[in-house]
Amino acid sequence: MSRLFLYLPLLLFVLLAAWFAIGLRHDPSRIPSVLIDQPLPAFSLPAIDGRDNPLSSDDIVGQVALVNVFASWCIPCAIEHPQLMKVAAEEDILITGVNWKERPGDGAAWLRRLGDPYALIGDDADGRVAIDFGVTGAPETFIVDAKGRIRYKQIGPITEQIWDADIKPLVEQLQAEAGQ
Amino acid sequence: MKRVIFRSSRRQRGTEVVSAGLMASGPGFRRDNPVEKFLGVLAVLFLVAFMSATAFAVEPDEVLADPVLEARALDISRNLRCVVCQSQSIDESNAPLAKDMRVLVRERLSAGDSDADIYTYLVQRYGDYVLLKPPVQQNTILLWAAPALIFVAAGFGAALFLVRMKKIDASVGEDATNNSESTKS
Repeated sequence: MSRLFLYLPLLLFVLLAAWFAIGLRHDPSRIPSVLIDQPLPAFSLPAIDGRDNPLSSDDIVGQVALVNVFASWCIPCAIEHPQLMKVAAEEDILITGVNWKERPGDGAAWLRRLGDPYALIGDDADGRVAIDFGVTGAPETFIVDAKGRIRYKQIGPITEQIWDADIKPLVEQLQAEAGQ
Repeated sequence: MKRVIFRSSRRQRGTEVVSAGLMASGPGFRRDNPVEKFLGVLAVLFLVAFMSATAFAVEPDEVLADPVLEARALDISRNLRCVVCQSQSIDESNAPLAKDMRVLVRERLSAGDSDADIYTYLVQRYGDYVLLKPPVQQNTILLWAAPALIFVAAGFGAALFLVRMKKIDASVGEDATNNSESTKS
């Protein structure tokens, strides 16, 4: 018995080391969203400077939709952009954008340069709607079902792999549920 | 000769620390003057103290006119995590999102929200993560109880150790008396 006691510190060490090894693999910037399965926050944003297609929560409810938080100052957004263009061209889903903390004109200029995948864009100049969505950085993307509930949150850019493996199947499933 | 070189290099090393910290080692900076050395150290200390005072990121345009509301806003800000910087409160962080949240807190306070209303508002959007102090609830009870549990375990261990030591002491004592008796006989 006392022999086993000798190994107790070693056992504790191994357990702690394993615990910390798991902890190291955990990305602290990936905060699980509390908004999953919650209704979309109610908001109404004006159109961005240079556009006339404003975005409100009422526009989104009623179909499966994608809400993408983006900004021209956000480098990963530019990385994500071609994938959104591809989705806009190939898929049947309402793509909306929340232009987060943008200077007037910058958003429209960015879209002129890179292409515009968004059907509707809201100008969130003071960042209030981003806080309503629990956004911690751009880009972030939400998939909203036809009943207006948030069903998925993507932190960081949507890559082709993420779209094909995670988002596309979910969108198709939600569209089937809604009979779209 | 050797000794002189050694001393001068030592002296230089000492003043280099001060001058590197101050960036004030111009042509007029005399290395051996103890008063200037003292002033130099003082200046470094002053700089350090000053830098720590700027750790609060509240900007002048954010401050509320009502000192009571502002005090509440500060108190709330210190308990809310800056969600992009993880280990700072929004009161300490210069991140744009932290600023947005400070402004939001002040707006809602001005609109008449209670402290609890504001915490609830943010927890609904960012989860318990936004609170720097985790609330006592089912999934955090182990976290809150851990210090007490460790204390009890350590006390138990210490008690066990002391009892054992006493036993060993007693048996060693018996052995000693036995030994002395055996040598006598």
